[in-house]
Amino acid sequence: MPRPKKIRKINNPPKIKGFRPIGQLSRKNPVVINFEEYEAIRLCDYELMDQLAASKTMEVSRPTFTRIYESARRKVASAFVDSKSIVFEGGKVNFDNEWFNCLTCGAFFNNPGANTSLTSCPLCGSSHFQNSDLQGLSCPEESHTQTDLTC
Amino acid sequence: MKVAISVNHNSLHAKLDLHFGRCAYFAIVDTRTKKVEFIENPYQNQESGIGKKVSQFINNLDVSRVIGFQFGVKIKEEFDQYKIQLIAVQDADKSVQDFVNMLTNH
Repeated sequence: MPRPKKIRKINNPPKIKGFRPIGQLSRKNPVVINFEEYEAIRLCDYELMDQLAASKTMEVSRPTFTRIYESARRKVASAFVDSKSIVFEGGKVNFDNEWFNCLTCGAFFNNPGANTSLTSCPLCGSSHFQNSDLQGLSCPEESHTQTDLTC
Repeated sequence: MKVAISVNHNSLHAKLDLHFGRCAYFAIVDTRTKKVEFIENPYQNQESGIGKKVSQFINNLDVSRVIGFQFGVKIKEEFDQYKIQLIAVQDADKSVQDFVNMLTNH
């Protein structure tokens, strides 16, 4: 079994769910770009950080960052050349925030009054909830439903 | 306590609106009296900057929790500032009545 991936830290998740090519309806086989790959491109090519600084921001090693970044660039290139749509989804990531996930009703909720700790889900009252930071977001292979929160 | 739900029309069968700021109505649920009141969203057709206005509008309604399908980064910041709790339910099949039941059954 391969070593589990370290959780990557994401400061700004994408504001949209993806891109679609103009002039061609190709919803089939979209390129799935993970949040970590999006973040790698954002840090490197938008914030113009060097890879060492970017890797520190995402709390992964520099070689790992390079692998994430390279995979991201290849996916973007393949989407451009093969006119595929791009979907942002999944990845082993940790948003910089305070969202919780109720295990009973499946709702996500936050705690804006940070001084008081939560004891139950605000929607169904269940005490079975977890910090969604700890669990990371599931990979697209495992689940298609859970990943679209922009936090 | 009052809870605002972003919904697509004004009945108890209304479903969650997928875009919080541009929903047609807000269902305001009073968890103590179980009363539901529907208020039309005055900003649903505005072009931009609705996050700020909608969050202000909801804050003025004395609401302490908000239920929507999902929330964007900007509107989360606005609600954080008013200390309004956000609940994102990624289940477009739940109706207002379902939410009222869930909120009052504990």
